[in-house]
Amino acid sequence: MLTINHLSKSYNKKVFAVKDLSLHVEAGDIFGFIGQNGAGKTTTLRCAAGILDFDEGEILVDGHSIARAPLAAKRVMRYIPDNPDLYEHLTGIKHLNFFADIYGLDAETRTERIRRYADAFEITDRLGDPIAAMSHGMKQKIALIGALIGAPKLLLLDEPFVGLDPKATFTVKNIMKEMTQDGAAILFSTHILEVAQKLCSKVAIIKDGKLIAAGAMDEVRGDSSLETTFLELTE
Amino acid sequence: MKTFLLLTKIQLSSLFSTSMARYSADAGVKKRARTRRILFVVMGLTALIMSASYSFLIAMSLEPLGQLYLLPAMMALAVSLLSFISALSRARTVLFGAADYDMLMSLPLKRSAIVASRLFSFYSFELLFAVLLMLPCGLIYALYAAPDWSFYVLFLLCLPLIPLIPAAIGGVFGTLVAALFARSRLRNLFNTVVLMTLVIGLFAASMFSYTWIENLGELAGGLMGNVSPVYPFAAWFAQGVCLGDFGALFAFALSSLAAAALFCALAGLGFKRFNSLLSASYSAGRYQLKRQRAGSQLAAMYRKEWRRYASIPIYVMNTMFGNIILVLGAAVAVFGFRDTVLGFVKDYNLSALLGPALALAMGWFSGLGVTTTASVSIEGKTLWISKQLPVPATTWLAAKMLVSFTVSVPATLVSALLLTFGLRLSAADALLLVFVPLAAIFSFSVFGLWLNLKNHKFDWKHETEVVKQGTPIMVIALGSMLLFGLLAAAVFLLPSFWTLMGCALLLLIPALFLWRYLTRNGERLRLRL
Repeated sequence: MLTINHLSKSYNKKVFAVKDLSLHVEAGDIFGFIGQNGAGKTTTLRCAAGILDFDEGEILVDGHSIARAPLAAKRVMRYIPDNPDLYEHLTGIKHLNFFADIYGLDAETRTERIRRYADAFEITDRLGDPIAAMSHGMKQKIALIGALIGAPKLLLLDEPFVGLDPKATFTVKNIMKEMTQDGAAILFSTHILEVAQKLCSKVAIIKDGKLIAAGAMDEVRGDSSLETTFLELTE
Repeated sequence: MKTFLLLTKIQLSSLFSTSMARYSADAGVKKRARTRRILFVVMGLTALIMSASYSFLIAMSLEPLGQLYLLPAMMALAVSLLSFISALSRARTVLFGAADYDMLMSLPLKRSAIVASRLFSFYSFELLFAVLLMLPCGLIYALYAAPDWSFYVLFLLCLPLIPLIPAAIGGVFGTLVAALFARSRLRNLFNTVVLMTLVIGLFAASMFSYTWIENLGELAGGLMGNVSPVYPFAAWFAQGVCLGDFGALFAFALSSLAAAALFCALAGLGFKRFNSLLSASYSAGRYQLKRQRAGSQLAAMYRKEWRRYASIPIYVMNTMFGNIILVLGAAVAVFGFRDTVLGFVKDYNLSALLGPALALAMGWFSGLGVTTTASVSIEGKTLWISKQLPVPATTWLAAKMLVSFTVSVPATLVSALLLTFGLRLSAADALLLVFVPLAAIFSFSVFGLWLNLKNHKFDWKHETEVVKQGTPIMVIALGSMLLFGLLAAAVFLLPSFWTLMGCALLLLIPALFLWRYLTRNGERLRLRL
C-alpha cells in the first residue's frame, strides 16, 4: 500500500532530516513509527502525504507515485498532523462537508459516515460549533472524522493519540483495527510505546533520519519490551 | 523596561521577518524575508516622494497667499485621518487577540510590560505614517518659509504626537465594535459592516470638507477656520510649530499626551477582559444532524475561500473599500453632479477623453481590490489541508481567483451601467468601461496570485501581517500606480478607443499566459510552499 524507497530529504542541502529511508507498509498493517524528537518521523510522513517535496527516492501509494501522480495517490490516502490546524472560521459540520465534497461523497453516504463517526466520538451535538470554539481534543476528533469519512486505503497519522480523552483513544484504536481488517493500512508515529506495542503489527524505529530497525513487532523487540528495545537501539 | 524592549523587539521582528531572514536554514525563506524588507523601503521612499510632491504643489499655491503654515495643518489632518482608519482596523488583531496572548500571560511577566509592548507596536505603525508624510512636508515648508531654528526643534518634537489622538480614538472605536459583537455568530460580518460604514462615512465627510481646496485663492483667510472645526488639533499643531503660538502648541501637546495616557490606561485595565471576550466563541447549542447536501470540489473550495475572506474584517475593508467608493462615486457623479460633469466635459472639449478616463479610473480602483495578493498566505497553518487533499492545484487556484472576481466584478458592472446611462456615453465608451476594468481585475488577480505564491508568509500571528502589510500587496499598489500612470499618459497622447483597448489587451494577454503557467505548474508550486 505504501512503498518508500531510499527517501532523502534535506533542508538547504546541509541538514538531512531523512537519509536513505526505505519502508514498506502492506494492506492490513498497523505500522508504528517511533523515534526521538527530531528523528525524522514527521518529515517522512509529510513526504509520504505529498505535503513536502523530497530530494531523492520514490514514494508509491497504492502503486501511484506521490511525485508523478499526486492526485491519484492522495485519493486513496489521508494524513492527519500531530496538531491539526483546521479552518477556524467554519463550524464542525461545515468542515466535514467540505472534506466530503472534496472526496466526492454523495448526500446519503456522507450523512451516514458523519453520523457513525461523530456518534462514536460523541460529538454529534457539537458539530454546529465553530472550530475556533473547540478544544484541541475536539479538533483532533473533527480531523479524524474528516479523514475517516473518505474511507481511505492508507491512513498516515502523526501522534494521533495526543490530546484525545481515554474513551476517544479507545475508539480510535478500534477504528484502526476495523480499517485494517477491511484491507486498509495505517502508518502512525507515536511516543507512547505501550500503545504501539499492543496495537501495531509492525514497527519501524528511526534515529537521526535513518531507519535503524523495521519489521514485525515481535521480531523487532524480541523478548524485550518495545521501550527497552527502543532505548537500546537509540543510545 | 527590559521586558518591554524584548517584547517589542519580538513583535516588530515578526512584522519585518528579521528572525526568519537571519536564522532560517531555508534559502527561499531568507530571500522572501529580504524581499519583504526591500519592498518596505521602496514603499517608504515612494510615500516620501509622493508626500514631497503634494506638499510642493500645495506650498506653491499657499505661498503667494501668505498662508504657508496651512501646509503642515493639512498634512497633519491627512496623517490623522490615515492613522484613525488604520487604528480602527488594526485594534482588534494587534492590541487584542494576538496568537501569543496565552503564552505571554502565562509567563512571569508584568502585565504592564505586555500591554506597553502591544501599544508601542500598535503606535509604531501610525508613527511610520506620520514620519513618511510629515517629514517631506516639513522640509518643503522650511524651504519656502525659511523659519528660525525653533521651527525645526518644535516640528521634530511634535511630529510623534500627531498620530496619538487618532490612534487612540481609532483604537477605542475598533475595540468597542469588536467587543460589542464578540458573542455573536455573525460577529465578523457586523465588525466589517460597522468599520466599513465608519471609514466610508469619514472618507465622504473629508471629501466634502476638502471642497475649499478648489478655491484656495478666495478662502485664504478662512482656511484655518475650515480646518479648525474639522480637527482642531491639526490647526493647533500648525499654529504652534509654524507661528510660535505657544498656547496652541501647549493645547496640542497636552491633548495628544492626555489622549494617549487615557488610551493606555483603558487598554491596561481592560487588557485581560477584552482578550477573553474577543477570544471567546459562540456555542451553537445542541446540533441535530440532518441529511447533508453534496457539492462539487470547486464549489467547496470556493465556499471555503469566500468564508475565510469574509471572516477577516480588515481583509474585506481593504479590498471592498475601493469597489464601494467606485459605485458611490459613479452614483454621485450621475445623480448629484451630472450636469456639472457634462458641462465641464463640453466646455473643455473633453468628450473624447471622458470614456477612456473613466475606464482607466475604474480599472485602477477595481484592480486594487483584488483578494489574491494575500489568498495563499492567509492559509497560514492550515496549508497542510490544501496540500494533502486530492484537489487539483488548478481548482485550488481557481477558487481564489473566483473570490477576487466576486469582490470586484459586480461593482465594476454596476458602475459601468450607472455611468453609461447617466452620462449618456457611447457604445464604444460603454465597452471600455466594462472591458478595461475586467481586464484589470483578471490581470491583477493572476499577478497577485503569482506574487503570493512566490512571496508568501505562513507564520503570521494576526491576519494584518499578510492582508495589509504583505509584499504582494505592496507590489500591486506601487505597480498599479506606475502602470495606470503610463496608460493615462498613452491615452492622453493618443485619445482613441483603440489606444485604450490596445492597452487593456497588453495587460490581459500576459495575464492569460501567466494563468496558463500557473495551472500547468500549480502542483509543483503548491508542493514547494
